[in-house]
Amino acid sequence: MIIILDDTFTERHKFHEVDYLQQTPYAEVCTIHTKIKTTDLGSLVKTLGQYSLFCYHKTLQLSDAQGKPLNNENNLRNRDNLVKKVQDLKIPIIEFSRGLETRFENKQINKDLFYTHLQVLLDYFINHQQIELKTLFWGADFENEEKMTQIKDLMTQVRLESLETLQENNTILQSIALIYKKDAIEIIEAWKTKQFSKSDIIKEINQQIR
Amino acid sequence: MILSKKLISKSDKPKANKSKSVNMENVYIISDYSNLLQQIIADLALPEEQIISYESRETESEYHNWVTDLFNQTDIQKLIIPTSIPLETSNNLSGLKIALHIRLNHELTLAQRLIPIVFLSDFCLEVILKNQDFDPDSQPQNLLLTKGSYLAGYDAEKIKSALENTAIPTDEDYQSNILNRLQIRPKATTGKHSIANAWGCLKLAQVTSQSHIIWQDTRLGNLLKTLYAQYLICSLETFNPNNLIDINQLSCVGKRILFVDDQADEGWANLMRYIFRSAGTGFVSIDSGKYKNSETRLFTDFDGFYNECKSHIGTDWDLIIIDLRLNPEEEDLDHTLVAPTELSGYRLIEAFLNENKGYQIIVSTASNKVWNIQAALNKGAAAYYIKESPEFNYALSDTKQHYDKFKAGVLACFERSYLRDIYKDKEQLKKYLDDWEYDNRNFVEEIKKQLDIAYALLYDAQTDEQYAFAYVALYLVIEIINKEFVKKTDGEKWAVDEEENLLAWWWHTEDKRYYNTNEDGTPQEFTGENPPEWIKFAGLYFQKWEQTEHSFIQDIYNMVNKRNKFVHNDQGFFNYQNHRGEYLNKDIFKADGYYKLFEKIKDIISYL
Repeated sequence: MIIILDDTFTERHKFHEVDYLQQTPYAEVCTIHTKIKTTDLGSLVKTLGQYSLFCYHKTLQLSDAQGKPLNNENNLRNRDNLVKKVQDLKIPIIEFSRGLETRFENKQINKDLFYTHLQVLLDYFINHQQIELKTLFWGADFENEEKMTQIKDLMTQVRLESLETLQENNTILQSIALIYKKDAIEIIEAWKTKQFSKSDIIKEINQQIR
Repeated sequence: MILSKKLISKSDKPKANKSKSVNMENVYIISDYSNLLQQIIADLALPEEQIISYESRETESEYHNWVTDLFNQTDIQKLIIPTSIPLETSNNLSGLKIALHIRLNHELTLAQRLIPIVFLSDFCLEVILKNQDFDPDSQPQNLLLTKGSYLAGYDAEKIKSALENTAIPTDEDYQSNILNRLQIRPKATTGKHSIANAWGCLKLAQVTSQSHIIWQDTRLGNLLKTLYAQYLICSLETFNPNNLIDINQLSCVGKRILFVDDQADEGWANLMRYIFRSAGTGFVSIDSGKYKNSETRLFTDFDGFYNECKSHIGTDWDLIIIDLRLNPEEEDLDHTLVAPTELSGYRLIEAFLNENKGYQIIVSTASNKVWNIQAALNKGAAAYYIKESPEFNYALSDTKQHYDKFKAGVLACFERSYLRDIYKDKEQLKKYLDDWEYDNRNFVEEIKKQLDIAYALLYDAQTDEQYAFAYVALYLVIEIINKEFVKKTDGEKWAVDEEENLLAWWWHTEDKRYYNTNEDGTPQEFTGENPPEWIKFAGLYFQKWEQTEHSFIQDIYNMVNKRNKFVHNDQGFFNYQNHRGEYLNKDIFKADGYYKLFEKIKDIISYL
């Protein structure tokens, strides 16, 4: 289950179709809170254990019991307490906001991108019963992005290492096999035979993936 | 990662004899100190001081500031940037985004923005262009297709070759071969984090010489340092801004101006205070920030804000500027249609006008929904001001025109602010008449109705003739009063309030007073079918009300005369001029004539 806390959710309709979130099967796996009162925080915290992912608007505005937005000091304190509880429960956290630069490493994502890819994340969760955060950052094409990262790493290793060393690195061999769909050792041997320079190898890899 | 022995193939052998010497002076590299970058730096023999340390930042404005500081502190002539940075993380195009912050940075000189950049990637151009970035709105890979950008692999010789072949794009290239090839899209046009408000402020500031105020405001400045805003700003630089700055200050000495905007605390109050600076303390802005969460800028007490706005109803404002959507969290909803009459700004306009229909109100809005503006105008707002949106990237000359139109609206409001006093006085007169214990209520109601008719005509008057119509309508109040109190008796005599006969009043030019006797002092009663209205009125004034100011009747005589000359189309009368060349009777064609007559009507009703 995924929980989203977004006080600006009503604006979403301007930019993305989000009505699907209220419908089956998404409504069963994703809970969205748009107006959170401090009086509701206790019961919200009690339910946190059921969630596999906690996503929240970085500048989430909470309200008091009457529904009036909290002042800055109270808002910060309550919001920080809530996030701390989520951290204590070791639930992965995604922070989204409009002003944020997307960084996978920090699990921070621009809000527009978050909603662009949210359905992909949920689809993946529904189909595989697990969270794949990369879907949130790269969308349905995340496997290709993973592949590109793997190839980039391979190219880096080609620049830094000798072919002999590459042959001894299993990760590298897997990457070569991924690209060429052939035995990696065979490929490296062919490079050796052709006396490829590093630039030649890089060029050859590009030929394979373009 | 350890740099191990390299495979030395034929083409990787040192090419010292073939390699050209490239001047590396003022060539800088952005480095994340990954092993590969360190190797390249060593191969290029770049000194430590030409290495710029990469640090990730959270927001676009932080990147903008970093780039600005970098170029202010360093004489960078050429730059090497890895496309993916940090290199040892997932594949990304962060290096290209940094470069976008160089190309699209209004704080840098054009020469700085146009420095040649060599991008490092072992992916070929085709592969990069197919790549999806985290930020589809800025499409940073497009930068590789623009002039001044070069792509090289992580190969020192290729990099040197690229550096050697770089050419600095010309100023003309900037628009045609760089900006036009980029695709920077808005992330949103509304909402609390959007640049829409900041953009509206900036555009108005640009034509009122206040840009510095906007950039000094951290929040606004940060919004305007996003790539999209910078793209728009840089795209609009092909003019001479000095010619488009308004140098004619709005004259508003002694005026009272109320400014109501939920985003007053987000730039607008400062801008407006400057525009209306000659009003001094007469300019009042409701402090919206007092009712908001300082971090989220959302209202924590909208009712408090709205009530403070309403507390200013009744004050003698010469101009009131009201934003249509004061509570955007409830009203700025594209998926929900909020009726124009439900908008908080509209309701506030209504509340002000219910108190005094003469208030001069300019409605402001960032929305392009004309039906909302139309509703406010139909309600009685005098003019409107549309805050500029980045959606329509107007040239500064257009912005100047918008501001000139706003100024014209303001001046028209100042000119028409007399309506506020006339309306207030009219309502007081009506209340006075209501409280007056006089048996003939039809007569009382007739005067009240006539006052309303005259005001309505004045309110709508735009042409000379329409002002004169309003004047004639107001004059009728005198006729109604005359008719009630001066009536014909038996024969040809006329009675004043059924008590005494109307005397034959006449003006003595030398004595400058009215008489009711012959030259020999014999009292004269008026006899005849139809005494002139001014004589009837003089009878009421001197005989019934026992007033003594002869100049009052002389003024009434002139005013009645003006009415008669207008109705009988006596052009010659209206062309009379005094020795200074001033027209003596043309005030009937302006609000001034109405105002003078209204002052007399006020006195007359007080005599009833």
